[in-house]
Amino acid sequence: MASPLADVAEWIEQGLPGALATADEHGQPELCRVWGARLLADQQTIEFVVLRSAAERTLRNLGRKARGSLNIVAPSTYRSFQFKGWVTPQETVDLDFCLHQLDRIDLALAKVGLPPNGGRITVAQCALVMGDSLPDPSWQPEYVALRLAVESTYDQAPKPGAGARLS
Amino acid sequence: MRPLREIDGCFQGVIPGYLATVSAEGETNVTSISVVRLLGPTRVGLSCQFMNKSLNNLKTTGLAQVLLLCPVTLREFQLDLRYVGAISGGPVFERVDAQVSAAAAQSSMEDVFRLESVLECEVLDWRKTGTQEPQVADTGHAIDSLQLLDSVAQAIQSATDLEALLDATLHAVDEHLGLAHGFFLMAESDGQRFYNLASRGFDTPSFGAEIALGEGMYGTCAERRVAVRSGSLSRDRLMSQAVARASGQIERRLPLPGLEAAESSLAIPVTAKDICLGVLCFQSERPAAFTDEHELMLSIVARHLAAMMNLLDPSQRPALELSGRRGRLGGRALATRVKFFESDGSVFLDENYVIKGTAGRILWSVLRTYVGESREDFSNKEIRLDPSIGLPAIKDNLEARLIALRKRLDERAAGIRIDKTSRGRFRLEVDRELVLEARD
Repeated sequence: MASPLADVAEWIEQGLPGALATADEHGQPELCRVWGARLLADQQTIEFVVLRSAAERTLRNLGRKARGSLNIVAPSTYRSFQFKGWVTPQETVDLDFCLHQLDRIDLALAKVGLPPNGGRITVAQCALVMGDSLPDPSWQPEYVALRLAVESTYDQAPKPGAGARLS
Repeated sequence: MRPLREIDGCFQGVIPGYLATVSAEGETNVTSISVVRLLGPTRVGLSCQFMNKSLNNLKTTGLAQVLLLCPVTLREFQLDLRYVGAISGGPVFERVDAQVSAAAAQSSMEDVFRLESVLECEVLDWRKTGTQEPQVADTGHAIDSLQLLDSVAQAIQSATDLEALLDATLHAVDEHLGLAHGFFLMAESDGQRFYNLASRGFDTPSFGAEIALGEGMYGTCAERRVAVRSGSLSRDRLMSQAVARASGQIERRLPLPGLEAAESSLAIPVTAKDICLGVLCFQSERPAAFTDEHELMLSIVARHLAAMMNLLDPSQRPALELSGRRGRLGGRALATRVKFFESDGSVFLDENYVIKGTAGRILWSVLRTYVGESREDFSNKEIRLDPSIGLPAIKDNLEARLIALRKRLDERAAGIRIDKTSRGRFRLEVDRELVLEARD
């Protein structure tokens, strides 16, 4: 039987912004912006990257493995899904994929009025103290790859009945 | 905790944020959130639309976090929140509701994108994501806001008629508050339509352009009588363009003034008691260009303006002195075909749209008289009595209508001009032959 996630695989990989929510031991939620995601071959796991400097608390909450919720949204159409399950930090990151996705996120954000390189500037703002211009193009921040083993999926497009569970 | 005012740009609704909550069982939930509004020094309001799980979590555990981007610097901020309660009425709700409705109105989705409540939250802590900025002392405002407001008020009070009043207001707001692109939508006497009567800082002033009450963000401002702000017009445009494409609608009307690359807009209602006299509208090419301070200052300006409009209302006081008469226009070597559409009062000169509605009917009436009776001089009284124009018996706003018509004709350089000649009288000057054609 086909995975319910297969239907959204192409949509996820077009390069869309998103956020991961985790919680600490006191129940305080913690958000972290997500830069690039893809559905792995098992059709059950989403791999995505976060910026280490912006994700310290998230990574502390996750430890070796913890539950989390991932929201991905298309800025120009408001189509949005939430995926819930166990999140595991990875030891390596596919930087080429990450940068490719960041280029596509830049395009998606520019369509809704953000400046060119809006995603890259945001990344740099999280990792550096800087003005309005991008740092040297050769500069790269440290990314961390995370994997979410999806247990449930929710349709979160803004409409009556938003948040309905899909799988 | 540092003042939330330091990140005022995050609260303009330009870039949707994310809201994370957690259930009693420790399960997180994350969703996009369209409006996060600053309610006070340590309070924010979250727009609640289509929220089920998040709202349940807030009511159960009370803890949340929002992730916001400043649209100007693209710095990211996290706000730790504690839920206080839901607001479903009153001024705070009205302001957020107007903002949500205005954005929804761009795509005729007012009925779907309905605000259910504003979720009031206390901000426990906030911080920039990632590398921390060096703390910079707040140096305060270089120039006292009150001083600026006083300068605007002085300019407003020096006006001696409605036209001068509106021009002086837009000029003073540009000069003293730095808002260079503004226009004023005047209410029709029935309050159901608004037309552009004064404009500053646009390539095309579009005098006489109309909107209906409740239409778009400016119409929403008039309908709700609350200030409405958008910091991300390109997002709104995307939605409205999609709707226009889907419906295939082509409208026969003049668009409002607009910057081609406008990103922000602010609409302030000009009200006297419960009556909306008009809407002050401003645009900027910068995202999130308008702050809470702008909104407050311009609301004060609008109150001054409303008081002066009432003071200068010709129905409540003797008319002021009149402008001098201009010379005749040039020769009559050219001929212009004038088309009038009875259904909506629209007038076209050589296939170019000029104006519609009441102003269009006035123009058509005087052009018919000009051609039929070879008469150039007209009185306001005969316009009022002309049944084909259909002005209301009380508070007809005729003087304002004639200002809009005159400005529109000047803007179009149509070879047709209206000049005020004495109290309650005006002259039509035409530099070409006219061929009139009426259609249903």
